[in-house]
Amino acid sequence: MVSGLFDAGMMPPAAAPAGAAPIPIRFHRKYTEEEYQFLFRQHWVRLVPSLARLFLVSVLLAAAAATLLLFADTPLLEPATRRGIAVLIALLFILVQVDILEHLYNHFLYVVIVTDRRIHRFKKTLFLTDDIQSVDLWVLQDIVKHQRGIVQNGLGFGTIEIEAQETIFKIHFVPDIDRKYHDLMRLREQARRKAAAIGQLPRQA
Amino acid sequence: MDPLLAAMSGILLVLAIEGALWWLFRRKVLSFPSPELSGMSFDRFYRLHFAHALAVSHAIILSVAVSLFLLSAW
Repeated sequence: MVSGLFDAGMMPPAAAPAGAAPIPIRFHRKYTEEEYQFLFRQHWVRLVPSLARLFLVSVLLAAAAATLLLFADTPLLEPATRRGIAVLIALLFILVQVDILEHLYNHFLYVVIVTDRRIHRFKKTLFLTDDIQSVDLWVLQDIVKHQRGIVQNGLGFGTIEIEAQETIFKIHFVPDIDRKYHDLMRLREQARRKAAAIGQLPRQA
Repeated sequence: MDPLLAAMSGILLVLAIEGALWWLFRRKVLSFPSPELSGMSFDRFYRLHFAHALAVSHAIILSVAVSLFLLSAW
């Protein structure tokens, strides 16, 4: 059930600085005893193709609508034809707006939550996808950061590849990737120390 | 059809589609884990208040734009 707590106007919790105590936020009902560290979505550049398509199609439709309005009172167009074209332009405009809205909602539905114990990736779309993948931090073997090309390096996003036992877990379009990478490395070491302390892992010398 | 009726139909169509998308979005969102927070809502924790603002403003602007166009062109 959604916790309908009163919104006291607090800002969403930011990532805990390196070495600081974690923000005491727990997940309940599904994942108990996990301390929240940070969450992120994909970089905004993911939306650029959809926005470019929206802009282009909107310009074309606006031109078509302006032409229609210009010739509205002329005998060149019969009223029924004019109304049909107006409905078509309106429907196409609504469709392209619905497309961008769907992409924006899908952007909001792709969330990666990192706690002191696990990485949770929620990959959902409005219609077709509903994936949840969780990986324990202490079993992670490799954490690899990929940043290729001018755009990725300039905008500071990339792909983080996480290897755990025989599974490779990729998170694309990670924003502020340098910081996320170092935070994940730090949290993995903390998780391993905790696991060693309770006997799940052999203590390292 | 009366131009006003065409414009009203346009508004209703936009609101119906946007409402349906919003309902789908909320249904998906509610399956996120719920953090135990004090003084912060679920929506604000996941920064969904931006999605709320976007959905409402988008629906208003789109329905106004479509209805004005249909009124003018009918």
